[in-house]
Amino acid sequence: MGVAHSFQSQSTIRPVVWNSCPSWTTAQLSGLFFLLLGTNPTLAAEKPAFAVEAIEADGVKLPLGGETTGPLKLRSNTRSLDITFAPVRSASAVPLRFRYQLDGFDLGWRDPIGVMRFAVRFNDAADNTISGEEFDAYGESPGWTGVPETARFKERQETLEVPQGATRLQAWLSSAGPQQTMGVYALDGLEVMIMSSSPTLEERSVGMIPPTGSLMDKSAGTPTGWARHGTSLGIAQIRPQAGRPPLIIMRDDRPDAFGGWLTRGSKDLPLAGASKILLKWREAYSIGWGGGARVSYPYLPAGEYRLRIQTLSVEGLPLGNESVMRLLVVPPFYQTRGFWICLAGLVSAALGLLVRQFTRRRLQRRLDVLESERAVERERGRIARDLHDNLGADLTHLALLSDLAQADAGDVNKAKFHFDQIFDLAQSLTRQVDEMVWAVNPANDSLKGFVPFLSNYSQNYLLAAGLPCRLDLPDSLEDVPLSSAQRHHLFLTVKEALHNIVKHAHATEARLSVRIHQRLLTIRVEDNGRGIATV
Amino acid sequence: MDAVSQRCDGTGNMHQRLSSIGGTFERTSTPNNGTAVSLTLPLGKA
Repeated sequence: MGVAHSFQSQSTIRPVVWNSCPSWTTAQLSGLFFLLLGTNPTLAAEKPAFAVEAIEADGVKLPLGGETTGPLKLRSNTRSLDITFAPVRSASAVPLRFRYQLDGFDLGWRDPIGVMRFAVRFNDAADNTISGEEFDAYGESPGWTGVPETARFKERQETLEVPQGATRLQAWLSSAGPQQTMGVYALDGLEVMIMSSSPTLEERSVGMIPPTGSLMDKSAGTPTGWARHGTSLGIAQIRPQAGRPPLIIMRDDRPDAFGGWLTRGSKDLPLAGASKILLKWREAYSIGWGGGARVSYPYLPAGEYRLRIQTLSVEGLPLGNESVMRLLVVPPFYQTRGFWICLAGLVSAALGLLVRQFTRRRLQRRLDVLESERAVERERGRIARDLHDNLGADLTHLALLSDLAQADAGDVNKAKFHFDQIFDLAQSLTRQVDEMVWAVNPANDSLKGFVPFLSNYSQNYLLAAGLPCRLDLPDSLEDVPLSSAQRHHLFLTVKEALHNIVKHAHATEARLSVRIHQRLLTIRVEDNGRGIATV
Repeated sequence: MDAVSQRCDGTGNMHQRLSSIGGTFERTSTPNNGTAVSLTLPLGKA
């Protein structure tokens, strides 16, 4: 408070002399008439006197559906919300004030700030203003009761430098900050202590509101040296106080008018020789807003809000009705509970899947290891079995033949026969061991090694039996892997087939063919023998 | 060409060998016109 500025350009101030009453408008006169009667209409506003006329989100008007359509929805990225309030024409015969509060954002009632102003001016001898000081009042003073006579007053004091050349001090009050401002302002005990710069001059205290004047027992009275100004002269009033100068009052009950008081030039306070003044006064007020207004809210966080509008009397007393509009600022998707639940679900599902995959792979690896261990185990079993089946019998036979040879050692011919048998058997055993070793040796684990071995063996075997063998082999062989077990079983099967030809077929020719067609290996062993009778 | 397998002279054994490595064994024979045995085995990749 107390911003000094020049008053030269204040064109709105039109000093009006009460007594000489030149040319008043009928409106001003009726205002005064009303003042003189001193009556007050009872303000019973059944419905809210103010309503929301428009709401704009970032400059775009929102449709106002009323309570039945649910809360007004706003996007959460709305940067500014502009609300336009307007008086409801049919609601009240007399202008009223309003205040509003956005529950969920505002901590208390607000109004589009209307200001009333008490000011002092330092004037020179020609009554030109040199400088001034303004003291703004808005809202409600603590201890306001709705009536100036019973309200608690605020003590105020300000020390002001007297500018060079100033000889007079003028008090000035206005309700125009701006015109829509409505309410009551009361000033009491305005007093100036003039502090001298020269020690010879006495310091003195002067009351600026005289107890004398015209009609001093009425609201419309005028203290000596004071005058009304403004577009509505009824706004400036007094309240008589027993044994004391009256209260200086501004009661602005019109949103389209303003008014106030000033001390007239001729009655100004002489300031010559003073360097400083101490200004003391007491004030009580309730100041607000009538008429339409447009207010802005900045970014509102997501949530639910209630815009409440309350109608007030000119004196700032709530008139018992309130209108409520619900607003809902819809949260963006990433702020909703559902989104986080979904996200948590997805994340845990993904984690679960990952863990499952991981354990499955580990189990699979473990299974593979076990499988290969089992395969090795099986292979060992097979080799053991083969050793026993193929070699065991022959070795037993060998031992038996050795026994016989020993028993017939005396008979050279018999012994030679046995030794020949032993020799043949030993040779056969050697061959069998060779075959087994070949089959087990991993160096031979491909088709490329197997087919030549098989054809070579077959040819030798059949030739030894006196049978010619025809071979029918592919020109080139792929390097297809063939496991030890596969080689083993294929070889033994072919061997058995060859054995059958030699022993039972009475053939004159045999044939071995190997074909690979569409990744299928076919080995055929044929003879031209007598065949086998059908079963 | 219709006499097939399952004789006591080792055909069963030969069958068993081939099926243990995932292959098939087949023998066809006609009296006085020879015998043919056929071993087939699906191969792995090169």
